[in-house]
Amino acid sequence: MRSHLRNKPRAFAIAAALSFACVFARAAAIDLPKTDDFVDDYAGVIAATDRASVGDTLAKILASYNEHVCFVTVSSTADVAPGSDVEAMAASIYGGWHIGEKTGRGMVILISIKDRNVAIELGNEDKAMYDQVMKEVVKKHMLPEFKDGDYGRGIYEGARALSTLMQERASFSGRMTKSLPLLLGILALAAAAFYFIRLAVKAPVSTDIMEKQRAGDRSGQKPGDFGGGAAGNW
Amino acid sequence: MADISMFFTEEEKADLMSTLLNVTYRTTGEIRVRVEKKAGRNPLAAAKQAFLRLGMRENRDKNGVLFYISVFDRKFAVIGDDGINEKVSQDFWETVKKAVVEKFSSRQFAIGLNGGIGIVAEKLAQFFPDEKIDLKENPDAVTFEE
Repeated sequence: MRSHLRNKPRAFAIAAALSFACVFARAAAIDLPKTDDFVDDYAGVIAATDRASVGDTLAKILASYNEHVCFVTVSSTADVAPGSDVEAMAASIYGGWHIGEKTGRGMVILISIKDRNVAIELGNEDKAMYDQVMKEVVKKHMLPEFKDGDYGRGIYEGARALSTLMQERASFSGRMTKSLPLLLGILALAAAAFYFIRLAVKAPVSTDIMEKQRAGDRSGQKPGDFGGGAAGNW
Repeated sequence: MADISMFFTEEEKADLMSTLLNVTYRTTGEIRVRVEKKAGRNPLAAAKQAFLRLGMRENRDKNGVLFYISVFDRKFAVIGDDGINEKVSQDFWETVKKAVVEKFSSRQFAIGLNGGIGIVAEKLAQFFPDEKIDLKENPDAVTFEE
């Protein structure tokens, strides 16, 4: 099994990369009843302890970031729905289980064991933000364990990486939101300072030049410095 | 506030214009009168500003002379450009000023100005005589601040 997988180590990665192409290509509903909130192990490759700890992690993600993430394993797509590929099946599961239906925020990560394939289906809200990073999470944290045949460890690492990722993103956007007024304030101050410095430095120089030009004075004299006269009150 | 264009009567204005027109026949120099509302603390500087604004420094021989009056703060200044200033003695402008202000003090504005213009015109004709005989018009001879 292990050596067999090693022969085609890129299959997972390629499948993961391709899986985003069929966002709208929803296959017909697949008869897969939901067995668990977060980990549906139809292939029977996840140990109960792994399933529990992954479930915990994903429950926290759902509670904290309103992201419903599901890991699903099947022994092969042909077993479930003959002719269906892994991407279409992931999409069917996402739609059929109504994951992220209201929020548009959710993920189905479908692992097909015999096909040596992983597909990721993302909610509409997540596509832009997680498309690329999820490919990396799968490639970096899950595939190495899958290649060793440790699927439980693979999805555990994947869930942990995802949790860290979401934490970072949330704190980053939180920081941005908090510091945005401050940033705007600094920008406004800088703009004002720039404006007044220009007024103080540039404006007299430019009127000087303009008045010189108007006076046709090329001698370098100051505009008010010419001729003679006298003044008085009456 | 009073309209400063009422500073001279129409008759006085016509009189001034003809005086200034006569000047143009005798010299390449230029004399103008500027009436403004307020000069501020330094009437001479204000007069120079007006001189620049009116484009009087563009005269080739730098021989423009401006009679500057600020109505509401009762100030008068006379200013001549470099060309004429080099030719006249240092107290020349003082002399012109005194002659004008003296008449102004007794509210003889047109007479005071005509007198001052006469003195300056003599000097301009002396140093910058206009040999060509042509009739010129100078519609900007007397202007009022808007």
